Amino acid sequence: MLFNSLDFAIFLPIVFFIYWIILKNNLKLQNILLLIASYVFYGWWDYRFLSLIFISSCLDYILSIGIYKSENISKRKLLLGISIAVNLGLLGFFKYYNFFLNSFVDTFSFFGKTIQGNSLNIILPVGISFYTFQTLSYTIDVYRKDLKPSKNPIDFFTYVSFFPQLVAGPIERATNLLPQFSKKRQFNLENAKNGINQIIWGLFKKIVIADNCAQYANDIFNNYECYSSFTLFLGGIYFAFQIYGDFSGYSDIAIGTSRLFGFKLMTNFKYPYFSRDIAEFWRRWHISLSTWFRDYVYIPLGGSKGNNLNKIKNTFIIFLISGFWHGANWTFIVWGFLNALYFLPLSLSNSNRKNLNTIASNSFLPKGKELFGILVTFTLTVFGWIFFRAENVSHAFSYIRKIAQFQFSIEKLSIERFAFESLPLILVLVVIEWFARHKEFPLLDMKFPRLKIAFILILILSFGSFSEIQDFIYFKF
Amino acid sequence: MKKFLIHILKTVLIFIILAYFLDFSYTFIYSKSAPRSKITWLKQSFSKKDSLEYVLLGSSRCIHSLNSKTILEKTGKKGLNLAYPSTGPFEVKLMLQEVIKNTNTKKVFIQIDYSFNQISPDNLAKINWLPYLTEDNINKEFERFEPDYFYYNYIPFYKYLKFDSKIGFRNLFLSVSGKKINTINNLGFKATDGILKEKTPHFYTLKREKNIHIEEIISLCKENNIELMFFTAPVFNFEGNHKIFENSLNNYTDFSNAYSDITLFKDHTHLNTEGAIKFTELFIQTYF
Repeated sequence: MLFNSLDFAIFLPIVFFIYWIILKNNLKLQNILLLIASYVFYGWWDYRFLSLIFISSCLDYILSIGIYKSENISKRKLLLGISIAVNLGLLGFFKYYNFFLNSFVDTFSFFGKTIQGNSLNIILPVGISFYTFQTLSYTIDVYRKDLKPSKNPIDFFTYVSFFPQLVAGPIERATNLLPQFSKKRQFNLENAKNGINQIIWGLFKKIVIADNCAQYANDIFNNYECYSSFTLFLGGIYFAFQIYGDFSGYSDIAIGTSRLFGFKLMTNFKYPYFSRDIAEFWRRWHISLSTWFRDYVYIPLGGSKGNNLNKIKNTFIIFLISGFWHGANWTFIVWGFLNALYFLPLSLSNSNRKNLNTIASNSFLPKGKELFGILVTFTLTVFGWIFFRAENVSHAFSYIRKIAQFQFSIEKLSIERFAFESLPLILVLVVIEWFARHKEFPLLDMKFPRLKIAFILILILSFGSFSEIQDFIYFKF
Repeated sequence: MKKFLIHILKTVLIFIILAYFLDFSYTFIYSKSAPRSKITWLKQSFSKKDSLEYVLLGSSRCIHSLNSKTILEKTGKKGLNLAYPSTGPFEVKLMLQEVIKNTNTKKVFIQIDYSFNQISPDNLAKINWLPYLTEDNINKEFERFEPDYFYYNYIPFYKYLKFDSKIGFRNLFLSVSGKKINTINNLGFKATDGILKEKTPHFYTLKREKNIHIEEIISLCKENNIELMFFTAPVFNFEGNHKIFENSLNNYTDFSNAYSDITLFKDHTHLNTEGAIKFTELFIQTYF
């Protein structure tokens, strides 16, 4: 079920009504309702894949209890190993089987040997990367004794499949979300109002920004040979805002929906395009994934401790894995590699934590140095997004080579629109976000709420792309 | 909870009011500002005082084939090419009603082909009519034949959302800023370039004996003393037949196999610029 669909517009009020009006005093039944609603939400795409979530949930529920009860370190390790192997095995099979097979065949043919590889026609279950990481974090936390395993299977199964964040995050930690299922939830008017506002804001980013930018980015990337350097650079900018609007919009809708049911999910995006360096960008972009890798991969590897060689090794490992998490394509690995290169100078010079405060926290406009930092960081990010968006690595290189020719012309795209036409919408987003940079999201606890909501609704109705609805990009990850 | 439900109701109310406001504004602006479709052009730029010798109706096979400006220059007869892409018999009938309402026309030529199979409004061609659902006759026609009539007519702004790439804000903005459709300069004709590459035969089958819209078009013309002619524009290497038209339509001329020179075609069913020059000449010889 898509958040921006009629199905969801009907589904959400029904669940909300039953949850607060009919089951308001019964925590257990509320959780059962959320579990059923989550399975319906997920099964709407393909009910067959519900079995994967169910198996994953059963396995981690049982193994985590075993890990917790056992004092034997080898047994604990074995049980954790089984959990990791099965979860990553399922992820690996559905997401990476064909990639590894084809890469294997290509490597052999490069050395002149021909081998036969039968690729499988595998459908990628929606959101598998997200819920796999969520269940993994649970088992690891239990193993580390940071968390007691849940004794209530309903709570745990609902935690794994909680519909607002099931298919595209935020990737919630059990330490944050799981205890919320066992606490009685009171309806809070302000929280619910903010939930609605955050959903509206998420829809604005998805329908107005992402889906409009997608039309331009798709056309430019698909026909890049026909366009000038300037248009191709615009294509990079459009994709940067497409993926931002799409993914952060989804997170806003997810967090807003959770608020309606009395849950608090972690913030996933904090105005990443106002970052002054790449390290800050990664503290503001897809925070739930970045912190996941930090806590479960980077720090266990030694983090930034030790000598420079160790720092370099760990930085590359974390960014390459992060790239690979996004998809079974070399483009994502190159994207990860590129970000590691961006990050390394900051890490090696110990300046990766110098921009921790909000930008221009005491002034209206950024200082010249800050603005320069923002522009450089954004340009580097756009350059990285080209790899992320390209069909393959050679497509990305050809695209960049064409940008490097520095031709400037104002062109009409094959969609019969000028390449620059969507820039004003991006400007609107940037201005609104700049004013709201101190807040979690622009429509949070605002003055003149009705007026501002009306303004956003007018923008959605007038500028939203309704005839060219695109799937959320991160569904395929 | 009660307060929250009131809050939600107020938000929904704001949404509905905005939708009505935008629907009204878009409809009003489209009817008053620069024409972005031939329908608006006809409504805004002509009146009963305007005598037209002829009007051409049909789909893109008609727009790209017959140059009304050339006809004017060679015969002195003023007419309009009011065809537009994807038009089927339903839209042709609506356009004929507008022609009758807004001009004094003597002769109507209708390009007819596989679109004869179609009864429902065409998904693309109907879009330009949607801002005019406030007009009785158009509304009634949509009510009779459009499966999604309820949504277009009763849900405010739905039509502008569903077809935002055609009649959404961008088109509205162009209209407000005075950017007219460029086919107006050629009295409705639009040239198209390119040469067909495949010599493969092309055919289609006519699946019905009668089309209710064509029947009504014939009646309309009779009632208004308009001479009605049907024709089929050239098709490259056409292997079908138009016996149904020949048997049931008076004043029908089949030009489908008029040319075998591939360089005159952009694709199997559309003439290119050079093809249009030749066909316009043939059309003049045949009818004027």
